[in-house]
Amino acid sequence: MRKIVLIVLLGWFGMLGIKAQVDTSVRLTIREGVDGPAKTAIERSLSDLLTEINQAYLEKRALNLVSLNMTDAARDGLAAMWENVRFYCDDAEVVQNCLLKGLNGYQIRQIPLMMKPTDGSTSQDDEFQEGVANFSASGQITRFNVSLATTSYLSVVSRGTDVTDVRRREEILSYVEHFRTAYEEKDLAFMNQIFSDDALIITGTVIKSKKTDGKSITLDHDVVFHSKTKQEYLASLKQSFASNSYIRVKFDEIKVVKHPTLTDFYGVTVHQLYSNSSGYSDDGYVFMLWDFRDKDNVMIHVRAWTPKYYDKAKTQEVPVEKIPSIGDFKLDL
Amino acid sequence: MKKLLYYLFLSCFSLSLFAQADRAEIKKQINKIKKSQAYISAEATMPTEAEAMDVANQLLVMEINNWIQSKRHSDEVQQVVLQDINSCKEMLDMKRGTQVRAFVYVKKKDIVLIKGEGQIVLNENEQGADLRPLAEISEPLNPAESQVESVPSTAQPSDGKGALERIADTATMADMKGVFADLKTQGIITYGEYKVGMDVPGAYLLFYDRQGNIRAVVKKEGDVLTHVKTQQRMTLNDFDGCAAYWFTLK
Repeated sequence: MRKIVLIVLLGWFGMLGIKAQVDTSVRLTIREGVDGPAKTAIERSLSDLLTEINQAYLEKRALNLVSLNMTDAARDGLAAMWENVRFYCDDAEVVQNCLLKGLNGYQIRQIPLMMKPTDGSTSQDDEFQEGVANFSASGQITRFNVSLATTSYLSVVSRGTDVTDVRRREEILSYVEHFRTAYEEKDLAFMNQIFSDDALIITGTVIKSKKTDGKSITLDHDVVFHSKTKQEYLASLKQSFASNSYIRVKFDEIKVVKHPTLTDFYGVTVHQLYSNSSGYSDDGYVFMLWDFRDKDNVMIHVRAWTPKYYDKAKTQEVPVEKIPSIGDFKLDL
Repeated sequence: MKKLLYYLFLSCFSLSLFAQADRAEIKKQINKIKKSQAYISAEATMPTEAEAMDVANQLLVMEINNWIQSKRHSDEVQQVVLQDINSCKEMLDMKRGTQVRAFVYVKKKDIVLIKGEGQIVLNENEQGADLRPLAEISEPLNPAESQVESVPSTAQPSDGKGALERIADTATMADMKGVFADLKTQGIITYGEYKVGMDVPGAYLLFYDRQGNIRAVVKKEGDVLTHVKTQQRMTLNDFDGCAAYWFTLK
């Protein structure tokens, strides 16, 4: 009898221990940045979403987002993310400032998430990540995704020269975040929209050559670039999305450079780590030329990928001067 | 033996629950500070404690700057001083998975805004405050870039003998604030924050420590520092860990 009681107690404490890690109800409290009905709506929308995420995580099921205050695009994006990785909010109450996003939207950053990939792969470094949620003026969730690392965010925003420049940098980062997660969510529609029709897609590949002076042979490396049209790129992307159950993209070392002469044009360079379920992975730099002239129709005119290393052993880095930058492209507007 | 194992398992799970309770309590404490209008705070989660503190500090600087910009006459602020920096930035640290979470915060009433050259403005509640050195901030907060240019090329503190004695007899920065304010009102003194390497011909230097105690008032002539009271020759090494103001007297 004593043994049975002890086993029951053991099991009960064990269940409590596991359940205590994930809160079944999550509340968002906005510290400052928005007031009135919008504040109430944002708090309710995100509280409901984070609560559903935690409950779906505990119950090991798909997300039920139908009744939540979200756009269809936000629902699709989140559902696609849930296919690749399950996660939960690490706090029962999230207290954050509300930031302005664009002219009439809002954003909540630094939502603490604990990630568990569905393929069983574990990465200690990736377990904790921060989420970011975007909202319309009425408080409806328009986007929820994993954000760029805070260090990357800081390195870009802290270089803002004035309030306007800081706001523009925040906006750029928001688009870069969306661009990154579009690969993971296999969002072909976003890719079609974000690239201009005459966008230039450039991929660098390493070529090796042997040189000899008659006495010895030396190996020489270089990067050659091949270009594709937008349609060619989207076609190969579509194929990649279809043949891989998941795609993982990580951005860091983000640099934002304003075009020297053209207002609203920015060059963004990121260090990208890419991997997919087929086992392919690469490590390189992506340069993007962003056009912010039309706030409702932001687009990329150039996307150039350069490998980070000449060799697979990652002993020889490609020199910085080989990485395309904003000065390498002449815009014909 | 089996009983011992059972009790051992039970105690492990109980400890786990206690650890969970501690963690929940810290989270509540953090959220309480975050929701309070009396504080400015920031947090970061990084692989190591040092990285988490560094990023949290940078975010705190951003938040303080944003707060200052929201205030009236913010464009006049030349310097921001955080009083009692050690207790200002307390860190509550806890883990998120394998990463470390750092949370730093400062009381708004402990932030002193200095507008213009040598004009010390108390915080909005006009509470008396000791002026203490700015330290350990990852980025300068509105550094007074033109201080070198503002130093007069020839400064002869001949008429300020009484003022010099008054300054030399003051023991704390709390009292010094009143002395400087009084002398400035009379048009006798010009002063600013001193940085090593600044060219301040004919000026005096006032050194003070983190606790706000005046260490010495010296006359600077080239690289030579002379204590105004004892006439003892001193060097900058004697004031390691101190901050300083320069001043000239009419």
